[in-house]
Amino acid sequence: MTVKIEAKGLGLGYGDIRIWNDLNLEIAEPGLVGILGPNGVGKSTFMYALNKILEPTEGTVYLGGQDIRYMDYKDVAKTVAYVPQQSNETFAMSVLDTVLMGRYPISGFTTSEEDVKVAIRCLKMMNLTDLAMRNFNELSAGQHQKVMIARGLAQEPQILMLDEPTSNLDIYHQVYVMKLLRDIAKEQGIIVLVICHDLNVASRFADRLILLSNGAIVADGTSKEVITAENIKNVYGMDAEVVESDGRPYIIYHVDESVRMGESPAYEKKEVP
Amino acid sequence: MNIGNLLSEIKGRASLSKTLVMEEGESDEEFVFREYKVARRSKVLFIAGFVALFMVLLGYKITLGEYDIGFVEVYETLWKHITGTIDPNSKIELMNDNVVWDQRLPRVLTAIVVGVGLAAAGAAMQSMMKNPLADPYTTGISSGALFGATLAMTLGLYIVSGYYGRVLNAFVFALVPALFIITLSKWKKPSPAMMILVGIAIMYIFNAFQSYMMLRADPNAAASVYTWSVGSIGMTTWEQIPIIGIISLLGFAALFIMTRTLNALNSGDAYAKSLGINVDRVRIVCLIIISVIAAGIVSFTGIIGFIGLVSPHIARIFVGSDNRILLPASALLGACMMLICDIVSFLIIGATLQIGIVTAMIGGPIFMLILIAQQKEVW
Amino acid sequence: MKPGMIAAIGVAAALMIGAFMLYATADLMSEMNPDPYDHYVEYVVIGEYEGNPLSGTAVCDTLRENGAFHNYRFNIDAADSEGNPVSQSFTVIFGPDGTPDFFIESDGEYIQEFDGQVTRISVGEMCKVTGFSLESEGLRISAQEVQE
Repeated sequence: MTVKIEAKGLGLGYGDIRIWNDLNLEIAEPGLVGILGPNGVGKSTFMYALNKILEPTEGTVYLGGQDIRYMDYKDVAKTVAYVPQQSNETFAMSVLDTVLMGRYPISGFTTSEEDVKVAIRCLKMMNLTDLAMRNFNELSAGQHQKVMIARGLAQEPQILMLDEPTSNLDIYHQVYVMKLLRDIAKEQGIIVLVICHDLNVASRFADRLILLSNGAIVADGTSKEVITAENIKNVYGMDAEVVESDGRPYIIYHVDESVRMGESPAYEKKEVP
Repeated sequence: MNIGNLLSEIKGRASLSKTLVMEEGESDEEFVFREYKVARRSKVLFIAGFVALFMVLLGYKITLGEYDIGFVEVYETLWKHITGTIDPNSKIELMNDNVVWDQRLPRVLTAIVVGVGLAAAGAAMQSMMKNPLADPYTTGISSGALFGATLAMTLGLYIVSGYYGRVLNAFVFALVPALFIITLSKWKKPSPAMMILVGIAIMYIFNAFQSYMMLRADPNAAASVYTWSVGSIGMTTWEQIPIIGIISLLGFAALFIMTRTLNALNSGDAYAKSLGINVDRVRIVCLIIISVIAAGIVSFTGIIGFIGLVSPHIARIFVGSDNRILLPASALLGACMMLICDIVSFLIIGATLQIGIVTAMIGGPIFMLILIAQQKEVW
Repeated sequence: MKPGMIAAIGVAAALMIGAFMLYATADLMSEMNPDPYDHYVEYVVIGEYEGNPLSGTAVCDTLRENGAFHNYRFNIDAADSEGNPVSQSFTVIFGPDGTPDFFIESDGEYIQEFDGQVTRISVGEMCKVTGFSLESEGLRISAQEVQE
């Protein structure tokens, strides 16, 4: 059963600084949804607003028709799982215990055998079973990310939100994590929201892409609709050629050798209205 | 021998899963499940070990003292008291009963209850503040409590009178550093060491007020308050045990209920919120409980430092960071540490030394060892 | 070593030094203001043992167990005119309020293992025993604090 995500008139600002203005979004179909955009546009913050970690300055967010402002954190947790960008553990537990944390919204005070089995299954999905009893701190950054993804999966949510889950992974794992997320979205009929930097990987696997720029949604649709040379030029200030493969658009960048370091890219010069 | 290697070796022995080998036909998942069970069992074994250590220390401590009474006689006396068979005509039995039951036992029970309370508070605080250096002592909460208690005792400034009044005073003043810490972490987000330096500054400020108060008070009273305030368990009687016991044990129970939440806080506020935890509210509740524990203990024993700081770290080496197991393990080790310090104090130094000093002298170097041997970066 | 680590070690050192300073101050203050219930008293002993006059000394030591109670151990070392040694010891415990409303006599230990009874105990301020008398079969002892 898909839980619909709806954002109406979302705005966020800190003092004089505006991050976004009047964002409107509706995600009703299950599938892998990618959120794209340049650095600092507020992708992570956007995700925070969607799962109640942060409260927006204006606008409302609805999860399954309910206004998120009137929902308790616990209720949100039963529906939404969040995978942060970086691990921030002070006192690390074993990998399996870390993944078991994802079961907290579902299980009681004690960890049941069922919880452990689910957690192990998620570790298996991420190919981490031989690291299960290792201390989380001993792992590399890429392995941290995989553990955190497994932790999010263990929560068995209706909406899975991941903030740059592949930033530390090699190309093989980037591709296969995105493929896994897409497959899970299809099989379980849930919405998987991913913040992604790699346009090609996102393009290849996402069912829908949302492109943010300058505090607004610039493009929203399938890969073919969003990944266009024009969008890339406007948003990232880069010349690119779009090529098709496997039925999906791919970007081939053209580098302007005359650009010097110290010149800010085209998109950073614009200001939010 | 490298201390870091020694600690790793202990950790290695602590995880029996190293000796597990995958059986034929066993799937990956089944193997991991087996490993998990073994690891859980070894943690339980460690707790059992701590309980055994505790019983040994308790059993030994109660036979120590300047009053001349044999090892077996101590237990005979205890047994006679419990079964109500003390001979009222035997002066020796009456005296032994008085010394063992009315003098030694309260002292030992106080040590245990203090160890449990402070260690639990320390473990909870370290998780909650994501700070390995935190405990009621290093954050200035104990000093605030001491100031409040001393105000009640020397100047008679009560809200309510009697023992409860003292604890209430201590609690009110313990909240001052607690609130300061909460505000500071939200506002400035300091590093762990920075936060503790602030706590120590608060401690010195309260100490200054305290010293001033004692200078103005009657010299006799001042001297005894000073020696008491350093941390002494030798002054409690059965009259006070119920209060300090209830506060400490209830505080432990309250923190134990919160352990799953504390686990989640460990991963950062954002993730904890996504698990359904109202992070701000949890922090406030936790600090209040910790302040109550600190106030309850400090009101009767003065400041005893390092127990809350060191016990969680030692426990973590054996049972890991899951607070559901770490908190009880820390509490046990805290009680053991108090008993060890009291035993050492008697055997080596002589009964006159306040336990607060012994815990600093023993706990301090242990803590430094742990700090230096830490191989991961927590700072 | 990371700077945070150094700071943390500095913190531990600061805490220990602070504790030690407290100890030094407390030690100084307790020396200047000793525990008023801590007594070491010497007595002159006279008495009679089996008809023979007896003389000697006694000493009172403080036994520290719990700050709320005051325990004192008395050791009597005497001899009668014939040179027979007579030693006796007993313990007295005072309750928390400091007044001797609660004391206990112990069975004495003679060479011959007689039972003894403390018939008189004179208590001064802060539970300091200034004199006492003991009686048992064939033995009478009276002790008085040595006057300087």
